[in-house]
This record gives sequence, C-alpha cells and structure tokens, in this order.
Amino acid sequence: MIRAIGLLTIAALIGLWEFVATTGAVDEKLIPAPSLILDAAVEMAASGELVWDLVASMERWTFGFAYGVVLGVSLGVATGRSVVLRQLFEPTIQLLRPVPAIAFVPVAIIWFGIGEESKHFLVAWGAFFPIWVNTHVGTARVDPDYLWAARSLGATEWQILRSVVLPASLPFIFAGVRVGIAVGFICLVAAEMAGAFNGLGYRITASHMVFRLDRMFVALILLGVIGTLTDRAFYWGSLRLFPWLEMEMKGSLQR
Amino acid sequence: MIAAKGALSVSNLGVVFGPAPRVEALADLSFEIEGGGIVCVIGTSGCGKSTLLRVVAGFLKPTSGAVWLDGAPIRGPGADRGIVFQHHALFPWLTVERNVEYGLKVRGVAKAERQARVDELLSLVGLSTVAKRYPGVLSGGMQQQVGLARVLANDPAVLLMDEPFGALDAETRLNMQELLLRMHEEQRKTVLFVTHDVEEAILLGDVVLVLSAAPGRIIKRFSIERERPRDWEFAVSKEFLEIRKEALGLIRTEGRRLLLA
Repeated sequence: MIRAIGLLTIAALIGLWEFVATTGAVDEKLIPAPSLILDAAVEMAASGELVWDLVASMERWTFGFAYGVVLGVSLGVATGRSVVLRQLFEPTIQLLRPVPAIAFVPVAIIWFGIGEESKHFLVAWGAFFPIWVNTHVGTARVDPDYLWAARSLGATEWQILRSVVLPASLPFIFAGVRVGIAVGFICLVAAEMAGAFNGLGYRITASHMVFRLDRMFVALILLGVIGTLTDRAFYWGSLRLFPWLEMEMKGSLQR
Repeated sequence: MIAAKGALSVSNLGVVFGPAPRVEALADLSFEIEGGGIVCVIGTSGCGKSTLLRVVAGFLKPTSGAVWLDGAPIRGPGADRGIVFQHHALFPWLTVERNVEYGLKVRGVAKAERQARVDELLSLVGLSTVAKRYPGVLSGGMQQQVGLARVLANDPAVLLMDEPFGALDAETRLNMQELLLRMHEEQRKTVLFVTHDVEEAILLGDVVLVLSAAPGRIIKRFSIERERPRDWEFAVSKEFLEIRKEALGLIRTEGRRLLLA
C-alpha cells in the first residue's frame, strides 16, 4: 500500500514537471520535459546506443564489483579473525580508506589506460572498503557462545570459520555489500566520464559536449533505475537464499 | 547398568584472572562425580560457578590443579563433553534439525545416519514438528530443548549445563527439569549442573555443592539420598525443605560477606 503511494508520488512529480515544461516557464533546452526525454530515449534505443551503453556499464560494474567483494570479504575475514593479520594490514587499509575513491581516477587511467582495466580497478577499489570494514567488524564480533558451542561439538577451527564465523557475520557482510554496490556505481560513472567510448557515464559527458540535456537525462534516469534494481535484487535474493537473515536483521534493529 | 563412563574428577582447581586486575575466581576446588551421577553447583552470583564449567568444558585453562575425565586430563574442548548454555547458543542460520545435526556433521558421520539420529532425538524431546523451522521463531523452552538435543546427538559422556533453565518461566522450567531427569533415567550421562536456583539443584542432584563467594571453594556438600525417579512431591517433603533451608542460609551468608568485603 505504502509502496503504491510512493509510486504515485513519482508519477505525480513527472506529471508536474511535464506541465511546467509545457507552460514555457523554463527553457526546455535546460530542463527538457519528460516527453522530450522519452523521445530521446526512443531514439537512443532505436540506434542501439542505449543497449550498448547499458551492457558496457553493467559489465564493468559486475567485474569490478566481483573483485571488490572477493577481496573485501577475504581480507575482512582475515583481519577480523587473526590478530597478527589485523596488526599487519589494518593501519594500511585504514589510511587508504578515507581517500575518496574517485580521486584515484587519474591515477588509474595512467596505470591501466582508458581500457576496461581502469574501470574494473576503480569499481573494485570503491566497493572494497565498505565490504572490508563490515566483514572485519562482523567476523571480529561473532558471539563467543557460538564459537564455544561449535568447538565443544567437535568442530575444527577451519570448520568453525566456514560454518560459524561466516554465517554469523553475514548480516554485517551484506550491509557492507549493499553500500559497496552503491559506491561501485559512483566509481563506475566517474571512471566512464574521465575516459571511455561507451557506457552511461560516457553518454552523459558526450551529450554534455553537444548540449543535449534530454540525452543526459536518459542516462541519469537509467543509472537510477539500474542502481535501484541491483540493490533490490541483491536484497531479495539474499533473503531468498538465507531466510533466517530477515529475523536476524529485525532482531538487530530491535536491539 | 553398564559400567558407567564419564567419571569426572576435579582436583585442587584454582583459577586466577589477571594480572591486572587480579581476580581469584576459584580456589583449591576438589570433587568427584562418578559416571552417571548428577552434581549441582550453587552459590551466590560471581562465585565462579560458570568459571568452573568453562574449565571442565576446556574453554579455560586452570591456573592450578586439573580436571580428569575417565582418568585422562582435560586439555581443551571436546565432543565428549556437551555444553548447554544459558542463552541456548543455537545457530540462527541453521534450521532446528541442522542445529541438532551439527556435531555429527563436523565429526564426519554419514548423512543417512545423521538424519536418523536427528529424527530420533527430536522425537525424544518432542520437537519433530518444528524440525524445519529456524530457532529464532521458537519459544525459550523449545530453544533449550533443541540445545539439549544438539548436545545429546554427539552422545557425550558428560553434560555441562550452565544455568540452562534460568531464563525460563516457572512451568517451562519444571518441564525442562523433568525432561532432563527422564533423559538421565534412559542414558545415565554424567551431569555437572550449575544453577543459582537452590530448589532446582536439590531436585536434580545426587550431590549439591555450595560454593563460597569469590574465590569459589566448596563450603558444603549435600548428599541428596532421595531415590529416583523424583517428582514434584519431593520438592515439598520435609527432607527437601531442610536441605533447602540450610543451603539458602549458606548462600545468603556468603552473599552478605561479598557485599561487606
């Protein structure tokens, strides 16, 4: 019900925007009406640009994000569970963490060129930190009763890592992954704006050069849509895979 | 009865936490439980009851003395000693049956055998209907029953129980005590039961040990002669009330001593 009302709000805002645009109160070159944006979208879809931009962006994001998850989770478990590794790596990671990921765009382009690698690197770099931090905190704070229970039931340390530490910190890890998804998109767009030949970020800069705000808006809206869909898909997918998470997350909110 | 294994021997046990602040939790504690016996440990809060259990479980190395199980010294946690926690400590990411199966699985028992054992235990505690549910949706009493079943699945020689029924309401607690006694009638496992509830200790134990305020040492040993199976009528008998009165008096004196110290 509330969700339906929220969708109505979106429809109403678009309607209002369209109405204001038709009155001529604003320059339609600066703020194109939704109908003009739709026209641009149809044109871009017909020429194939839209699909190619979408595929290029999603591919870059997927690769980069996958690297970020693997690195973030494995380093997070390592520094969360091992005092030695924590002392070895935590200061370095903490020092790098506050540097905004998009500040690395020029560096990444020099290191990896303007090909795919620099995009993968930047998305991975951005997604890595929130995932690492959350995994680190989650695995470091596993309820000792769980560990004791597992040990006294005969589990080895390796079994405990896989069957207790990982699932016990999953609510934390997932929270980090959701932030990582969003940061990954930010880095993706920044990387594509700085140097690329396709992708939604590239489309925004390219349209900017020729002052086509309608096309810029198409790319912007599409970024909003894929960002939301990815986040929703991840959220619902994880609840489907791990139905107990819902209870845990509710519980932690209550606490 | 089978020659009972699970004979537990605690000798001159001392535990000191520290160095700063240095806290002496247990001092020169010695007692024995014959295989299949139930020993209950009571005492004022912070008397080291839980510390004692942690040492026997192998989670904590004693500062002095040792614990022996069937003649072998305890060096670490092991599946021969199952522990039931005050806050069930069931894994929320596993269903009830997967929780009960956990010990068997990590010890490499074959799948078919595991499932058979899990089904048997869940029906023993009367929880077959919730086998596929997650622990988070169960009541506190059911969670403790699953916790007990999870430990029993491993068929340990000794059950270590750390105030397992302390958080339950009175009726559920009584049901759980009866379940434990019924299980004990069938399986005759050694039980080391820590509680702050004097009545519970007398109802369940062959022996009730009263610990002093920290550092915990044994100040009184009650032998509970009442034969088994015991029921609620024992709890209103003259014999029961006399022991209860004396034990409560001792604990209150210790509690006051702690306050004044």
